Amino acid sequence: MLAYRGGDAGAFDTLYRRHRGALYRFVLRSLKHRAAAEELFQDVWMRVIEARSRYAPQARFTTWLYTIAHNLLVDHWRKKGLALVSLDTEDLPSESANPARQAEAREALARFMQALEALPAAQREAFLLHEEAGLTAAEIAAATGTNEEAAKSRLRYAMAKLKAAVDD
Amino acid sequence: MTEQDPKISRRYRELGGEEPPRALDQAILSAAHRAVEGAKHARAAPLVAPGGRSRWYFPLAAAAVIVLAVAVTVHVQREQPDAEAPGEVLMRDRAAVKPESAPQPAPARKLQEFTPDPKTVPDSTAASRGREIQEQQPAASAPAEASKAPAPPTPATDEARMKRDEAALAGARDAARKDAGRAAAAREQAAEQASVQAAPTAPVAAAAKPAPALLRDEVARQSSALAKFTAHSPEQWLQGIADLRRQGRHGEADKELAEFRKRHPDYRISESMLEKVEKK
Repeated sequence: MLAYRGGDAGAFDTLYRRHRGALYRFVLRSLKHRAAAEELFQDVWMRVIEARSRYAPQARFTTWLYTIAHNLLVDHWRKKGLALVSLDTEDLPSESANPARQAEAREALARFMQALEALPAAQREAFLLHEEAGLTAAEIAAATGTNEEAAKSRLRYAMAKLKAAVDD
Repeated sequence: MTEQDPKISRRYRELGGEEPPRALDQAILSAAHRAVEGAKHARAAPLVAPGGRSRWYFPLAAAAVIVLAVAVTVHVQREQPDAEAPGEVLMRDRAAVKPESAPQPAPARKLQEFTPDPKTVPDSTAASRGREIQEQQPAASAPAEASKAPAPPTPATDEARMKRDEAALAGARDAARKDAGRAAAAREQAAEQASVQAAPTAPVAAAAKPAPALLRDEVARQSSALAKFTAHSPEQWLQGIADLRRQGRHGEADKELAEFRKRHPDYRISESMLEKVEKK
């Protein structure tokens, strides 16, 4: 990122190749809607480009990148009239919990997916940050603007629920 | 660590590695390249004329710089004649005189030779001694003639001329000081409406003017006199006429005085000097 800030356009290509897949999946699995996910994914990178001159290597670039993504997600939820923080509680049963999907849920993967989607937004975000971006609890806390204990707690709850889905 | 569970991670990976569409990749990458190129162009051409309301900034700044430069140039040109410090003039004056007066012991000896009896000389000042030398060697000592006919000067005549010039300068200073004192006294007199006889002395002038102003005037007068010293100043000229008059060369003195009045029609000759230069 420092090289890109100094005018090396090739450095951005390297950064983008390294993070594009993980970030895209993080956004896609947070929003569940492909079109909205693509739009937000593009917005994240545009923010990175715009903020290059202000970038200071205080933390890992990954943490900085996912902080931007988290802030845009919060904005997105706010526009929809939802709050990411309030979704720490259990989601209401989704439409995927209908009998047809229950039948398909026999397949482990589908069950896992269902469990992931059923996670509260904050727990899902913590889990995705951990799995996709490889962030530690402290880095998750930094990226999402919370304390480390809360990040650990969210991650632990998410893991427990997903483990239950896997073990089923 | 409780957050780490390989089974969950493996299952999560099985969901599939979805990737952003290629078109999205291209859009983002080209935007990143455009941003860097734009920044490079902006750095390379910092004087690109801005648009909108700030369009006139550069022409205005350029005009202001030109006006300032012209004003400074004119000011410097006007100030140049006064910029020469009195010290520099003095140095230049001394440098001009020095080569002539280099052999100093010789003039002293010659002075002794020309002086018939040191005891009989009533005035032992350098100025009076110089005047005696002038009387003995009239061709070399007359200032008007000396300036007109630049004969190779002898050390004795140089010394004499230097002394005479110093005396002339002192006389001119005195006259100027007296003039200033007289003017100040007249002002005071008019202001008070008193019929007290004015005493044109230096202390009155000092009382009328604040000390720094007096000092400044004195410095200016000295510098002015020194600057004109080599260029035949009016005071020097008048002193020369006075010398001619004293030597009884009234014809030459009249001629010089007429020429002086033609050249300096607005010059106020002090009364003391007037007594010396005018025919009685």
